[in-house]
Amino acid sequence: METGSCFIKSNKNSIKMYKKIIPIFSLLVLLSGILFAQKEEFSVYSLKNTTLLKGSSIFFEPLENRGTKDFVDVNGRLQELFTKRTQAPTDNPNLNQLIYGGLFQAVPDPLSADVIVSGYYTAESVSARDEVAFVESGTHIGSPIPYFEWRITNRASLDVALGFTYPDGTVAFDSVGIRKESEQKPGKKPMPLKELEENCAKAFQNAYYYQFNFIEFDNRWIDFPSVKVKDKQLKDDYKQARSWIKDHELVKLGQLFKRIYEAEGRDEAAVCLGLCYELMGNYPAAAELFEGRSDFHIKARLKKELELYHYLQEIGANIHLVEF
Amino acid sequence: MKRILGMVFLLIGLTASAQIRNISSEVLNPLDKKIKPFMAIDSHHGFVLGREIVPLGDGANHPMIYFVQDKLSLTQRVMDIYSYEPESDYEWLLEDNAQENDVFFARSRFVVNNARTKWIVMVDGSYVVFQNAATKAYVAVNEEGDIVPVEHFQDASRWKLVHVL
Repeated sequence: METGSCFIKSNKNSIKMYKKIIPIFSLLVLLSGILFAQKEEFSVYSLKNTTLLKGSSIFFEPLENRGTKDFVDVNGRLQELFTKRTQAPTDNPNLNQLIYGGLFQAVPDPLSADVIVSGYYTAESVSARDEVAFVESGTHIGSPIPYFEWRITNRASLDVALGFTYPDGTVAFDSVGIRKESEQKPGKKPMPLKELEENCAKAFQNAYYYQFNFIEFDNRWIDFPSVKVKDKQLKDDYKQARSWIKDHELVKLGQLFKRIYEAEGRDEAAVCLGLCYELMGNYPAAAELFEGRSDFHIKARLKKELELYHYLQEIGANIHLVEF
Repeated sequence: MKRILGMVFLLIGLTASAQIRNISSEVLNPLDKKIKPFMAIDSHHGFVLGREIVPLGDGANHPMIYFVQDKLSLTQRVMDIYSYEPESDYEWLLEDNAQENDVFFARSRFVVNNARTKWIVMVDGSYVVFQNAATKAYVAVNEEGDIVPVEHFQDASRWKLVHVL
């Protein structure tokens, strides 16, 4: 009997305890939503492949057609890729300034260029007739009779040799050869030349893309850890950080986290500042701030970003590093 | 079922790309003609044999002929040589006409002596020579592009048969 009353008593106590814990726990959960780190999706960049572009100034010389047909706008497409690569730096200060700050610039004079992009192409399309000799195969009366078959083969081809001439006189080539052909089969007409030419032109649309677009991007969720701020003024400013992260206001964020880090020297503030530097393309500054503070994901990401940075340095591209 | 269909398609494919067993077309059933059209090109002047003889040219519409084998002999083949005109209501075949003493394509229903429409196809290297089975005259084409019968083998035109796919 005594044991039973004791059990009831302890049960009542635990219910009381839960009644106290549950509101505290709920409050903690609620606060965690405010205090916990904020994730937002940002673009991160890495090196896709190497390029033959070297230096920071490029001159594009339209290619000469050495063929007899002109079914593809080679210069139009190359000019498009070239213009996109050398377009003026972006007006948006919150974008990655290493990538969008103008790595290369177009120059009007080949003598002042670090690399001259030029070359030639050969566009051809022809309908050729091949003659094949046969004799009858199954007759048993008299001599087998000889006959011929004329087989039409329609061919369209495009060969492009894109040259990259450097100031020391050396030239590197990147060539593309596209062949489309259709042979006449018994009871079937070959594909018309016009269609083959269109297929050639379509295939060229993908050529040289990676020569000019050698940087790839990937959208990642970036985790900004929460920072405990003591200073009243900084605390008030920090309240805006959430909306700035959401709106990708990286310049404001960087300046804020720099102030917090310089005033209070917290590791979380250093990581947040490092993230701002990383997303703005100042990978060396980010690497310095992440030293001893970053997790595996940041380390893996930064390794690729530094590889890109060093490659851009190696090829002599214009590098813009943001400082807050 | 799928396998059987696959075999049938494979067989059709192989047949379509195979070498011709016999240049003769099958016209036993007039409603279901399986015609193998050929261009017969004169090796000397470059004329193409047909009801209207034309010089061989690029992109031009050339006349075509087809052969129908006649089983008259076990050792030698004789052929009817038709003008290939799928749109036409009539059939035209090559005849060594006795009245006109000339060789030309005549409408099949007006042919009186069927023996004069039979041609022996003789092989000369990769060319062929047409000899009439009844009159033994050979087909030749002159510089003007007219068909003329000739007596001697060496005077006959050598025709290159081109199977039109």
